[in-house]
Amino acid sequence: MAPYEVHAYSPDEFRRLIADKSHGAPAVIANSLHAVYFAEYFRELDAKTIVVENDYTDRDYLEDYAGYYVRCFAKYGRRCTRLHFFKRAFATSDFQSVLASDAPTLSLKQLQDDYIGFVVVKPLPLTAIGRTCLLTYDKAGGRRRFPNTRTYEANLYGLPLTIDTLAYQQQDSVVAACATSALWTVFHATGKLFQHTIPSPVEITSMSGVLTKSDSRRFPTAGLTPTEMAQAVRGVGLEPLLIGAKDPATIQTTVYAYLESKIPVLLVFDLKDDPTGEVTDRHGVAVTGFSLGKTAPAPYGNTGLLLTATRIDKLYVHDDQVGPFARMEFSGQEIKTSWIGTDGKIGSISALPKLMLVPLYHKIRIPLETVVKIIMIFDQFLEWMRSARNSPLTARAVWDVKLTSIAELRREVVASGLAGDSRERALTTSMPRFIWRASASIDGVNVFDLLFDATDIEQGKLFFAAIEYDAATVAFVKRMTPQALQLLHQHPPSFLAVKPVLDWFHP
Amino acid sequence: MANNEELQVDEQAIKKAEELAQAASQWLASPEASNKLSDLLRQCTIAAKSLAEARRIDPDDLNRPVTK
Repeated sequence: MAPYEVHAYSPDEFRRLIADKSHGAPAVIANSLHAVYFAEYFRELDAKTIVVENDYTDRDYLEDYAGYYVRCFAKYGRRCTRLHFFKRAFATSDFQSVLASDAPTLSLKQLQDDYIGFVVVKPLPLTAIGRTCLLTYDKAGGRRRFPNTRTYEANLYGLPLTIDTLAYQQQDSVVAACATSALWTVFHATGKLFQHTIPSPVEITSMSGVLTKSDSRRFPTAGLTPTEMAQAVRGVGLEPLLIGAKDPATIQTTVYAYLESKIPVLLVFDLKDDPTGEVTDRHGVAVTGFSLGKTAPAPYGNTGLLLTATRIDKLYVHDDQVGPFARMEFSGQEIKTSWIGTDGKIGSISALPKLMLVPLYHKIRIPLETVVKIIMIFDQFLEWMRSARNSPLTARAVWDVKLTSIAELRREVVASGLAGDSRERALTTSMPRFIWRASASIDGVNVFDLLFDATDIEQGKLFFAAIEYDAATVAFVKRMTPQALQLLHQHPPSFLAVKPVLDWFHP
Repeated sequence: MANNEELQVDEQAIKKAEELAQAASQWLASPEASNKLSDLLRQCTIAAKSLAEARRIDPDDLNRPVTK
């Protein structure tokens, strides 16, 4: 077998290669949802050429192989195949000239510029899609956001290629079900962010505590419960935060707040076949991006709080049954998936969200909900000031609430164009490592950021500083604050959580 | 030069805001304003409850396998 092959890309050629390299049945692979999805995805990425790297050793598959497949009577291979994709048309002779460095007709720069990633093909008949690193969708002018991508290196016979993405793989239904695959993706992001080792699927399933199960077999795995998923998160040294997902706004605000700080969120939901209305299975995906497709935020809760997060109209998820960055679109209380329903149509299965799991560094102790409650009260004070005659607050504030780090915050302050004392104060104020940042804007102008200590305790002060951008708005708020503080004390103590914020604006 | 102009604009905006605040603060001292704030804060109490309810997890969901 030649070490490499070069093929012109077409959906048929991709399917043929998957079937050939995995020893799977071509008809089964051709009719899979993965085949349909990848064909669409490669069309978006404008794939032109596939370089096949035969006899490739993949660490994740090797661990799974050692943990299970090696003991099977049937001979499953231990080596994989890696398919590399380029949006440039070239022939075997071009690629050969690069490797031989013999009057090369392609440059390394051209290959890197046109590199769109790779797919590892496992030698398993039905679940062949292994570690997959492909470019994200186009960012669409900032509407689509994929904040938790990282740089992956692919050394192709000495050619150093890189790709910014987040790894994906299909469950093999033996050592990993969907929950394990979603956790594996999540750990690829948090491993880099919080410096922990990234376990293979078989290691994740083992860490989840299923090894101590007494009521069923460990492998093949039938899936993990959220409790077991949380245990796997603890296994890599992180703390699991489980949050109910009863309404779209809760999902939007959670996804926005954590993804913007590069922490992926795992979403668990029931699948509902729309044509029949039947709720079938429970499924888990890693949320890896979102689209801010709505032009204006929707009022959140009965106070009418406006959060940027509610502009999210779509989530992009690593769905092991579909593919990387698969779309899920909000539709009322449900979310449309890219699954095929009983009517044979893509998108005719809806997700009924149940819960989310966020893997957090142990020092991130304050949940989003606590900060949103304080913002909600302060926003009502702003609304009160706005209702005064001649108030210069011309529109309701829109809040952008997200987790950030001291380094990221200072980087953004430097890039913001903020000048003078406010800038110096923002850059030199002593801050905790993790910060909840609530940025208020009025009529599209950022007026101030409120900063909360994400490492504090719930009973603590939390708020520690504001960064003031719009001097006129801040001056107005400061003049109104003494009256606000006086009235605050006439209300129940539960509202005192907002006092440190008002104190900041007290002249 | 440009910085001086920007500074002047800023100072004018601050002065204007303070004048507006002066006028607004008369209203804020009225019982009507106090009642308005009470209404607004009452909404927060209801909103906080629904916020917590939306984030509540059904205990059965914690132990149901995610299988598909």
